[in-house]
Amino acid sequence: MTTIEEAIQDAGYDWLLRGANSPQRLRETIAAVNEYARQRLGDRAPDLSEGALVQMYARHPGKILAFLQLLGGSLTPAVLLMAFRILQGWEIQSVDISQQRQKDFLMRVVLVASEDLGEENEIYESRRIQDFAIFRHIGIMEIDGRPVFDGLYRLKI
Amino acid sequence: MIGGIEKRLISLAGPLSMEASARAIRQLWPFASFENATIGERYSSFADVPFSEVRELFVYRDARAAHLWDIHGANDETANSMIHLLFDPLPTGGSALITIVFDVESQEMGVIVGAVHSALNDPLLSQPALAEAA
Repeated sequence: MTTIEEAIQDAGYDWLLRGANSPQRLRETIAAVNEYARQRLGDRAPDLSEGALVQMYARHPGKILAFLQLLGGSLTPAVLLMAFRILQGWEIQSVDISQQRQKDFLMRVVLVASEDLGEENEIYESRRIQDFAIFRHIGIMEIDGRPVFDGLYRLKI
Repeated sequence: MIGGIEKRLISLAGPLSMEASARAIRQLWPFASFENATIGERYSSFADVPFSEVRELFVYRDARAAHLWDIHGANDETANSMIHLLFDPLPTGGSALITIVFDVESQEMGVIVGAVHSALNDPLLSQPALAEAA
């Protein structure tokens, strides 16, 4: 398995390759998020190249199914990177969303490294309402009645 | 079994059950470390745990707790510093039994069991979505 379309087909997500989601478009999306991650995080950036994603899938398919699904959407590179960070175990410290109909949308998410890695919080912002779709994949729970967002999960299809 | 208390939860989250459970525990134990209880493999970070392939997981409160378990095993000092999670698929479509094992009843363990129960009940993990929604 060497290509992203092979991984997607193996996952049973052929629909991701149809319509507007050609393999070429998926490659462009992957290249964009990989470049964004490198520019933003430098040496700390996860490897989000096509080869690395295929390797991750081949090693542990269940770990990146949600990310594969998101590649077929229209999320910005910043929010795709945020999604990957959550997969890695970064925790959602806060979410602020404001929207006024036909006027504006603003989403601001603060992620915190869950383990004692000395990492600083990362802030992800977007003014594109399409990025709201990320929340379809975010897990919810209550801890002793207190609200928590945690986890990035594949949609069950 | 390591501990003396077992809590069993029915999960409709199928293969996502272990990850959801571990994430819930980690909310209370932010420095938790993880070990595949079947093969003894320890993971240096949360990102390395292949949750969908793990049937039994040791979740230690932190690296120190894991170290103490290595040295002493179960004793008064290590009590309730490790949770044994077990995943058993059930024959009915996508459901599973999650067993949470610990040493003694406590308020903290009660909160952890409640958190796992809450995480496993997230409809996202079990209810089908339309392909178009992705």
